[in-house]
Amino acid sequence: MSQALGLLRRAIALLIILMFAVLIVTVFYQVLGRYLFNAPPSWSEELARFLQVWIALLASALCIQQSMHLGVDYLLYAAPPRGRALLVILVHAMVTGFLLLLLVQGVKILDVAAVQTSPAMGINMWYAYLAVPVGAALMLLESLLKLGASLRALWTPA
Amino acid sequence: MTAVLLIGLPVLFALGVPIAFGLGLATTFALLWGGSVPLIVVAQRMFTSLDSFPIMAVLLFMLAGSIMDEGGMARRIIAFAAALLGQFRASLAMIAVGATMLISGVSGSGTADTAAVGSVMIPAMMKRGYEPRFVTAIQAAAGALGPIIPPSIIMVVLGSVTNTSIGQLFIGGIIPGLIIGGFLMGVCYVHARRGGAAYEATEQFSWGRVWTTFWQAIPGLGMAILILGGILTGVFTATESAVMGVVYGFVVGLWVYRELRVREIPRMLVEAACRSAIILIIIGTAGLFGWLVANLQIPTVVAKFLQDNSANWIVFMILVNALLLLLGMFMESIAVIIILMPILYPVAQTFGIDLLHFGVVVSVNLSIGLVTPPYGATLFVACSIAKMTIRDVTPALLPSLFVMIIAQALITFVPPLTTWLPRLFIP
Repeated sequence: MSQALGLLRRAIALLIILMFAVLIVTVFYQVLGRYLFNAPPSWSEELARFLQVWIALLASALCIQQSMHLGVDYLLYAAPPRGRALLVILVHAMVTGFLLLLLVQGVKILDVAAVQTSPAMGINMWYAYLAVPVGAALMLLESLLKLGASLRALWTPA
Repeated sequence: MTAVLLIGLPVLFALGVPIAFGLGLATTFALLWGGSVPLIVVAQRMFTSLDSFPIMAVLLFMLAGSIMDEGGMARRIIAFAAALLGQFRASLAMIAVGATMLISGVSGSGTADTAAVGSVMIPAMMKRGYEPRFVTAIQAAAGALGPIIPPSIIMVVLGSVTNTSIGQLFIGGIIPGLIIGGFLMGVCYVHARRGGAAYEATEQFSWGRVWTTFWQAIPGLGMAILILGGILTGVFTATESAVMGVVYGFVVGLWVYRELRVREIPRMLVEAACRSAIILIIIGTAGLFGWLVANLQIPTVVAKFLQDNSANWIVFMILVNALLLLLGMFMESIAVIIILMPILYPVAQTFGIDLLHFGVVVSVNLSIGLVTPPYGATLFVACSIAKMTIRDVTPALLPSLFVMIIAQALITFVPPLTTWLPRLFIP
């Protein structure tokens, strides 16, 4: 289980690295194309934008795992231990709820996207929009793990 | 619907729900309450807000910041600043402020700059016998210059969410950055007068040393010149200048300074992606929030309320500055921009305020918010390097905060300080 998770996270990281590298090369090529060859490529900006959507949503899943997402935690620190444990569960439950909604709506939007073609590259928008449900699913997984951990923390006496 | 949105959001934040998901949840609740908009817009807006070329500068400037730090540029720029400023009393603190100003020209993030300069200068100042609280405070305060002196991640986000020119905002930050940098050096000087022998100048000024350190720092300073020059001349957009900085930084780090290793690059990419994702995901859920705010005509209501109470632009600016300083104490600056700008920008417009001026004023204010306790991003970084607590450092911060607020008042009520330079370069 934890091995499979580790593998999944490494796969996400690898995907981020590849996409980020392609993004840098693409935007760099666009600048060169405009000033050196005087022929700006038409597809570069669109490709970079789609890659950014993918990178942001994939990396966001890693951020949930590492608890990097920004929040306001004054109440959390002010609360007594038991209240804090309950609050943490509530927060994780709400985040999980939102991500579930994002996943469901993200899957729905694929049907709409599948009949559209991107203006510059001419690819099916399904590939671009796929980032939303995939990202939501990965974030949901990490969020569920956090929720599970916070529930277990409540049952084990401090 | 408006009530659900405006009550739901603070409640969710107070409970500790991360900003990104709190925004998404509050908007979803409001949509459910209203019942007329299908929830598929949640996924659709997430996509369209991230599908943006200007926003990409966030990702690229985050990476540029870590290249500058790990590629050996930061160290050489600090050495150059030391050669310039070593002759003054409290020289090490002056060097810390000066080097942060120079490095701010490469990186757009206050925390990256505080870490790059602080990790060298905080231990150096402590070793020399400077007062530890002062050392930590001045480095944290200097970190605010990161997003004031261009490039600036705060301004990238502000420009993107309000559809204003990021290039103009960048250039608008130059004069405020120089003013605040100068004021902070003044704070160092005044502190040192009472400080005793530890604060004596570290070395004599020598043109030879300035020349050698400058020569060694040229490739690093070149990164700042490439980024700033590209924007000032209008050759690059912010995103394009960021990618040029990244490519240039890799070349210098790998083959000129030879301090970067190729096998470190994948880790740097993932780290930059994650630090950006924290911001990007907020932008993703905030797109929906901003759309709903506009649809519910909340800015119109706010503007009407203020005008009915006979507020003029000066009162409005004072209120905005006070509100942002207060929020900056408790919240992440970028989140404040993303949540409040869809409301405040249209209101500023109804008061006839120059939106470029307004944008720079907001950016500088929220950069000061990086320093203000209890929640200050550069303060966290400086404290963790110095191994001090925020509670200990806070009293020592007051002089720096005082001069920064004076500077803030100056740029608020003298609009040419923020608008003259950008209009000169980008009409």
